[in-house]
Amino acid sequence: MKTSLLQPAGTWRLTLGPARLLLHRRTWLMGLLMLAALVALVLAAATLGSGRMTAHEALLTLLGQGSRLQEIMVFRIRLPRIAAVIVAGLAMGIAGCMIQTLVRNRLATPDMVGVNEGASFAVIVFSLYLTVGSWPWWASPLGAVLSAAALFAFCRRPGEQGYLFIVVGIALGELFGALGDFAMSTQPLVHLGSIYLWTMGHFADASYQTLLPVSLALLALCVPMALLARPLALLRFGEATARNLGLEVPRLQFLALALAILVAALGTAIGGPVLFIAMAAPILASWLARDNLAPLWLSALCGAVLLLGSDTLVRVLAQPEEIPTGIMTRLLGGLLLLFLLLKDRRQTD
Amino acid sequence: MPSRFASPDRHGRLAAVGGLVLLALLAVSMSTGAGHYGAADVLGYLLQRPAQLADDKLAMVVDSLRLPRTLAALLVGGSLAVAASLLQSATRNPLAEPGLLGINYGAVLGLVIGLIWFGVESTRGYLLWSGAGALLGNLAVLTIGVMFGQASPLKLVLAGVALSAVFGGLANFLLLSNRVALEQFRYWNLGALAGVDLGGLATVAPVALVGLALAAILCRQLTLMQMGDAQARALGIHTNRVRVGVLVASTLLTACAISIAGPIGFLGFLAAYCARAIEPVALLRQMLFSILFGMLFLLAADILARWLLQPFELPVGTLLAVLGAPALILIVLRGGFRSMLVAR
Repeated sequence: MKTSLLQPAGTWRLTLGPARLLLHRRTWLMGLLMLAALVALVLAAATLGSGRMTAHEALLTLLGQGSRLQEIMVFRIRLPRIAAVIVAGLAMGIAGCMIQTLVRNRLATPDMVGVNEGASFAVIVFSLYLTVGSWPWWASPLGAVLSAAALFAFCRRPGEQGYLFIVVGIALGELFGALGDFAMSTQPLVHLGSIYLWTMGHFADASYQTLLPVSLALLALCVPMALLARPLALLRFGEATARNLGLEVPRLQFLALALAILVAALGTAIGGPVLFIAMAAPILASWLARDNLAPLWLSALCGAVLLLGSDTLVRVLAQPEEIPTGIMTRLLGGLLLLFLLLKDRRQTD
Repeated sequence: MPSRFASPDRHGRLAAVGGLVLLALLAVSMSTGAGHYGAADVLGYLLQRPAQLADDKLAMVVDSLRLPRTLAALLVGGSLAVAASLLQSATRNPLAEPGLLGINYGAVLGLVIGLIWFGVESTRGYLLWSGAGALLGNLAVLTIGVMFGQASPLKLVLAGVALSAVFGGLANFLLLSNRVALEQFRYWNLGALAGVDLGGLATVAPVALVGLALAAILCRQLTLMQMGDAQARALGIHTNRVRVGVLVASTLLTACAISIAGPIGFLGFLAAYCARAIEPVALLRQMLFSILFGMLFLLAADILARWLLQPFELPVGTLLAVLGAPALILIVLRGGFRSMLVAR
């Protein structure tokens, strides 16, 4: 294969008139693979469940040729849940990748810096005491911003490799977590309704009513994200280089972190804090791309695949019962975190 | 060997002041709470004065509310503080304590298994099952601690987050299929001293004493092990045997605290931190101060928890998290563990 300055090895060049686009071959192949996996998972998720249905029937129903019962099963029950899971997974994949890239630490994710607990606490307080009837999804970004503001107030800089962030974040997480648990303990379980399950990460009650505004908000956030993408890509060459190229590094870092926290909180608003997806998605993405810094979109896809996979697994395993998805991600993600810590030890010591 | 900062004089003075504060808190704890009885009534009852002995309501208030609660605060506070001190010196990690390292959730998982599959009801059953779970958590923590060696103590806390997630996830998974147990568990999980009875305390106290005695025996070896395993071995210490001892003692103490009060975080960390600030080297002395601080903090927090939201009650675990988390943040930001924040 011929390589030149215009086309480095391992890339594709698309030429459309005067416009040229270089595509990193492996990354795009893996992206397509992930997309295929996601489609397969959507089909599987539409097929599996307590009502019996074959894959063929599910496909026919999706194309509008199913019976009335099958249509209710797929369009009313399963599809909203699948859509909710995918949107939440995409948001968590993006947020995790942004924070990990910025702080340069694999373990710095929304789960670790107390953002999830802040978001849950706000949702619990609003839904128990302040709003009646409607689901206060908008409280989630509010709480996340609150806890992130506390985090920034305590430590202006991420610290060495983000570890200062992580310790302070863990402490904040304990604080908000304890307050949230206490707020819930003042009400009997029956009155709590779905909040208790929501705080563990649960998608069974997902509906378009929450999904729609959250998706719109996420779409709106795509604009600043696209604007930040280029300077963020420059930041990968190191802070010194980025500064020489004329970037205001601290401001950029702050903006990107704030953006990531908002995205994470919106992802949490749908189905509750599903731990460890935001940590695992970028790791999977960079493993697939064989690149330490995977692109955001690949990480987003990985997040959706991981979350939909866990959700479907939970639905199938626990069939007559409803077990929150977050419990599955907690088990698998906790083991992954332990593995990462032990692997990291071998590298750095 | 005299330590860097302090003369024995200063230690004596500090201990005396601490003891006096503890006595004062004991008096406050016995004379506040539900039932309108002041210090004089309670003192009269405890001194077996006939006038107060005749009052049935006073007898009920003291025997089944205030006395068990106060004794429980002493027992749980002392146990958690010593467990934290042991873990801190065994893993050489200033952040080690049962709550932050995930051992509490191990105990919770054990207890939930006992509750759901074996229908445990007695305090002895609680103790047994939470002990089995705490053993699991301790084993995991000490194994990981040995694997990390002395590198970046913060990673041990991250491992604690991972362990908490796994143990807590499993416990919740089991609980969700059993709504009755879940309703009981939800309040207990916050950590509270309300509803302790003297019988339960009597079951747990001997176990806690065994744990304390073991900790006292291990102190000398652990002090020498602070210089590093190789040095300690050269001095003839069986380091692995000491680690097993720490495992057993910390398990016993954590199980005692959990089976009485539920999982309480930050208490052990704070007590052991203050004790280390007073006496950084000699472990026996450090542990005595740690016990004192553990009792002081828990008793004070429990009094505050009873008083803040009258006539309701705040779970003391929630209160300690609310007070302890900012304390941890302040300590970290003051640069107390600067070396720890750098991944070596």
